[in-house]
Amino acid sequence: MRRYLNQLVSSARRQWYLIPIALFLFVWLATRMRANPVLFFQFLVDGIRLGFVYALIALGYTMVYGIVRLINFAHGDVFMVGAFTAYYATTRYHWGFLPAMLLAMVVCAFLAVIIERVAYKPLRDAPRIAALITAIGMSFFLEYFTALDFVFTPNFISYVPLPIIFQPWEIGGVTFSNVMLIVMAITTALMLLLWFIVYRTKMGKAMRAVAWDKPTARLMGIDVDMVITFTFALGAALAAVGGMLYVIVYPQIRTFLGAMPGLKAFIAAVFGGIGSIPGAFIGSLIIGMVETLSQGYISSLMRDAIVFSILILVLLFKPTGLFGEASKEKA
Amino acid sequence: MSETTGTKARSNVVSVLLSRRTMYWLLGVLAALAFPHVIGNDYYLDMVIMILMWAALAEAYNISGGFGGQFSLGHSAFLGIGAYTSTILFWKLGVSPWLGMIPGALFAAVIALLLGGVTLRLRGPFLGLASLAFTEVAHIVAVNWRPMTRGSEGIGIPYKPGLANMIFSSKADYFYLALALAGGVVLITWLISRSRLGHYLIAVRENQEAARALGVNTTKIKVTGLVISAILTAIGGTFYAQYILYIDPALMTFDMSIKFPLIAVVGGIGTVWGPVLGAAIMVPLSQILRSTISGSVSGLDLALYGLLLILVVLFMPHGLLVEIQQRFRRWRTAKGGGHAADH
Repeated sequence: MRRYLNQLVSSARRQWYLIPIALFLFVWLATRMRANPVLFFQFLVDGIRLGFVYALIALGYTMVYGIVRLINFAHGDVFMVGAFTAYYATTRYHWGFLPAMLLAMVVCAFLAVIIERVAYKPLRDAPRIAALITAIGMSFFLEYFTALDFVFTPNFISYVPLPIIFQPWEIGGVTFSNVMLIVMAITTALMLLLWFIVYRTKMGKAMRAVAWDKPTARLMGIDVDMVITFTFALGAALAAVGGMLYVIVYPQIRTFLGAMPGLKAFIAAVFGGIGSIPGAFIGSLIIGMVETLSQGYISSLMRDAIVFSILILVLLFKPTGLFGEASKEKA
Repeated sequence: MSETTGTKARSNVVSVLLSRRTMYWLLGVLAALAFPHVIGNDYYLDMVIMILMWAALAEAYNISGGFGGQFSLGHSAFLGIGAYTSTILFWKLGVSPWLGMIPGALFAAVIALLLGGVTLRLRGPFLGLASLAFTEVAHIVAVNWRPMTRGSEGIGIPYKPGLANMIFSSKADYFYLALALAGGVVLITWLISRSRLGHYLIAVRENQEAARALGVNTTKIKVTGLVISAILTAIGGTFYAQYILYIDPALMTFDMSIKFPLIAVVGGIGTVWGPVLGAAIMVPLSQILRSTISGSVSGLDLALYGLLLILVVLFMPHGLLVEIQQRFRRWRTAKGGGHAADH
C-alpha cells in the first residue's frame, strides 16, 4: 500500500503537468453536464455503444500485435468484409441475425487466414518494415478491389431492412435502444468467450507462450505457425461481428468504411496498452466516449483530430498504455 | 615516412581524377544537362521530374527509415509542412521560396525532434503511430484553418516565373532543379552512409543493445536521423509546391505517407541507390496503371497497385537493387566457375 502510494506520488511529481490538464478536463465536462445533463448522458451512452463496437476490432489488433508484433493494417478491411457479408446475407438472402453473424465470422476468419498465409507468413524473418508494406498493400488491394463495380461497388449503400427492428426507449430523457443492448450483450459474450479461450484452453496457453517467447515455445513442441494462424482467424471473427454491429448502428455501407474505425480501434488498443485484452476493451470504451463527446461539444470536424491527438498524448506520456507491460516493450 | 604517404596521396588524387569512374560521372552529368533538350517532350519530362522528386523524398525517408530502421508513417506531414510554410510565406508576404524553405525545414525539424524525442526512446511501432496520428491532425488543421490554408480548396500559387520565385516557365529548368534536389539528397545520404552517423544508424538498426553497450547514444542517433530526414523532406515539399503550383490538405494523408516507405522498400531500403531505383519504377508504373487501366474499370489500377506491392515485397523483401546485385554476383561467380572448369 505504502509502496503504491509512493509510486503514485513520484509519478505525479514527474508528470505534474498532467494534473492541471486533467482538472481542466474534469471541470469542463462537469460544467457541460450541469448545463444539460440529458444531452451529456446521451453522448456518453452513444459513446459506450460505439466503444463496444471498437472493442471487437481492437481485440484483433491487440492479439495479432501481441503475437507477431505486426500492425495488421488489413484488419480494418476484414472488418469491412464482415459488414458486407452480413449485409448481403440478411438483405439479399434473408438470413436471420445470428446465422448472418456466424457466416460473417467464418468468412472473415478464412479471409484472415488467407491474408496471413499469403502476405505475412513468408515475411516472418524479413525486416519488419517489409511485412508492414505488404499489410498496407493488402489493405489497399482489399479496399479498391471490393470497390470495383462487379464486387461491392464504390457507392454508399443504405442498410435496409435492418435485421433488428430498432426499438428506442427513454429513461429520464436519455434514449436507449434494443440495438445498444444487443451490441453490449454480444460484445460482452464474445469477450468472455475470448477470455475463456486465451486463459482456459490449451490453445490459449499456446498463444500466450508464443506471444511471450517464440523460439522457446517452438522448442516446447508448440506449432507456432498454427497458433499464429489461429490468432489471425480469431481476431478476424471478432472484427466480423464488429463490422456487422457497426453497420447496424450506422446503416451506411461502403468498401472504405473499415479504414477509420480500424485506425480508431487501433488507437484504442494502444491507449489500453497494446497486447492487453482488458486494455483493448477499456481503451475502446474511452475512445468511443471521447469521440461522441468531442463531436457533440466541439465539432464533428475536430472529432478525429481529437482522437488522434489522444494517441499522440498517450505515446508521449505513457507509451505502454493503461495496461501495457512496461518491461517487455521498453528497450 | 610522411613524404611517401604524401606522394601516395597525390598519386591517389591524380588516379582518381583520371579514373574511369570520374569519366563516367562527368559523362553522366553532361548527359543529364543535355537530357531535357534531347527529350523535348513535356509529358516524359514531367514524369522524369516526378521520378527525381520522389527519388529525393524516398531517399530522405531512407536515412531514418532505411539506415536507422525507424519507420515513420508520417513523412507526408513533413512534406506538407515544407510546402505550406514556404507557400504561405510566398503568398501572404512575398518571401522567396528559396528563403521560405528554411523556416519550413526548421518547423519540420522541430516536429521530428518532438515526435522522435519521445517515441524513439521506446522499441516498437511507436514512431509510426505517433507520426501517423500527427499527419491526421496536421491534415485536419490544414482543412480547418481557413484564413491561413484556405481549407480543402487549397492554395494556388500565383504564377510569376523567375529564379527568385522558384517558378520557371520551362520544364527543363524544373528538371535541373529536381536533379539538383535528388542529387543533393543522394549525396547527403551517401556521405551519411560513409560517416560515423551512418554506421551508428546501422548499428542501432541491427542490434540496439550491442550498440548501446558499445557506448552509442541510441536515442540521440535515431532522433538525429529522423530530424535530417524531416528537413530534407520539407525541402522536397517546397519543391513540390513550386512545381505543381497548387497545394491542398490531401498532401498530408496516410495514402501520401505510405508512398515514402513504399518506394524505398521496392527499390531497396537501407541502400544509397535503392530509393532512386524505386522511384524510377514506381512513379511511371502508377502513372501507366492510372492512365491505361482506370479508363476501362475505375479503381482497378489501385487494386493492382496493392497487389503488385505485395508481390514485389514477397519475392524481393530486400528490394530490387539488392536482388539485382545478388543475381549479378551469382551470375558472375557461375561464369567464373565455368572458366575454372575450362582450364
